[in-house]
Amino acid sequence: MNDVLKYILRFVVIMAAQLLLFEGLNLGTYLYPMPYILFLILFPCSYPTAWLMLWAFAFGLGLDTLSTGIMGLHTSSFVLVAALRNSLIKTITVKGDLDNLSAPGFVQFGSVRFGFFVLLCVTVHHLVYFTLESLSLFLFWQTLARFLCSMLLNVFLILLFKKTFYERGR
Amino acid sequence: MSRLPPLLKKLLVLLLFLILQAGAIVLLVNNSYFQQNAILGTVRSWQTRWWERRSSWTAFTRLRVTNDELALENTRLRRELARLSDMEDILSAAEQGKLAVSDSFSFIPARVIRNSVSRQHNHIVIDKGFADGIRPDMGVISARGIVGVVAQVTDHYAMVISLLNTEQRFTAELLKTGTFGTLRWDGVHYRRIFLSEIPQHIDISMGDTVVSSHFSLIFPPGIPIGSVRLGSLKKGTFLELEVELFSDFKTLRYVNVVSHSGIKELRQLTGMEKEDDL
Repeated sequence: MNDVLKYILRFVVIMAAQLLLFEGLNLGTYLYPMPYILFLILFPCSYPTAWLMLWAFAFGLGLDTLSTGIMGLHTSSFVLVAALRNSLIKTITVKGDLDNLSAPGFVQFGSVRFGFFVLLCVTVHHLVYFTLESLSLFLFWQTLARFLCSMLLNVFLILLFKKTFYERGR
Repeated sequence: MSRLPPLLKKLLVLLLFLILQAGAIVLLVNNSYFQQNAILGTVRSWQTRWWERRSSWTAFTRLRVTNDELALENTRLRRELARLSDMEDILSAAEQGKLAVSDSFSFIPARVIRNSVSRQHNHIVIDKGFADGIRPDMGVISARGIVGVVAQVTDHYAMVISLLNTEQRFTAELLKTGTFGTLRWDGVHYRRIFLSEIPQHIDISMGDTVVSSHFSLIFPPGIPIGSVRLGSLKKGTFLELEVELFSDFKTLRYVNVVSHSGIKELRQLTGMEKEDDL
């Protein structure tokens, strides 16, 4: 299948899942499921950062527009993740490995390193997201708790979905 | 894109990132009041900090202009102060009954617009004239003593013969003893004047106050003029006292013209010459 078509399909499916399922879930104040970060993680390792950011911008913009949240929050945090993703990959992989790695995954990175990579991505995303959302030190501890809980939840969800939907048969 | 040099490519990626991020922030600011206030508040505080720094810098470079402005302001305030203290002096003097204001003397405040102290015949021009009730031969005083006598009057201005004029004589007396003599300037120093024709037997001490005479028709009696510094015998008969003036004619700004309501009658009665009025 054409790569671009694949990405567009992925775009639509993950967006739909986020909008129709996860935005509707009410897990309380401290848990905000945002597994759509998986969308960026699934791109090939050598995918250009510029395109990655454009995808992220489009995705975030769509999410911000269609969801009931504040405009620009998802966009801003997602673009930052896209900007840093390739650098993060370079940081956690051994030099020279990169050529052989098609896309980040359990097999390619190894479970621990892939988990760490997802954790980093989610951390970057959530850091921006919750900082921009609160934008003050008012309710600092509550915000921190939301950040930590959501981070754990989303790392778990992303690893789960990656394992479930994208690594069957391996 | 892959043909571009790596550095340029990185810069382009960074630029794209900044543009996208800026777009996101603009969306955020435009669509949420809280975020708008928080972000714009921060921007404002940076802005004010910058403005403060800039204004402190420009204030430094503009110090010369500011100094000039302050000097002008000072002059204006000093004038105001002089005017008010003049008024206060006159009012308090009137209250204490020193000046028979209600009886025969009244005062017309005026501003000095020309003045000189360095010539032999010094003149002062004031900004009140015939229209304000100023007539020739009226006395002019300031808060610190006698200034002179009105010589010529136009509609809105008057020329005053200053006390510092070698041609002009005034009558003055010693406050302590009431001895009167003639006040005369020798044309040398603008703060020094001479009181002559004081009899030898009068006991003089340094610092004695010289005031305007009770016999003067144009000045209220008891207006302080100066203090005695030195005394010397002249022509073997009379003492001549050197008097230091209380008023500094160089800084003369506001004066009061004294009008005496009974002067015509008194002149008719006594048949006095103009010279004797003083």
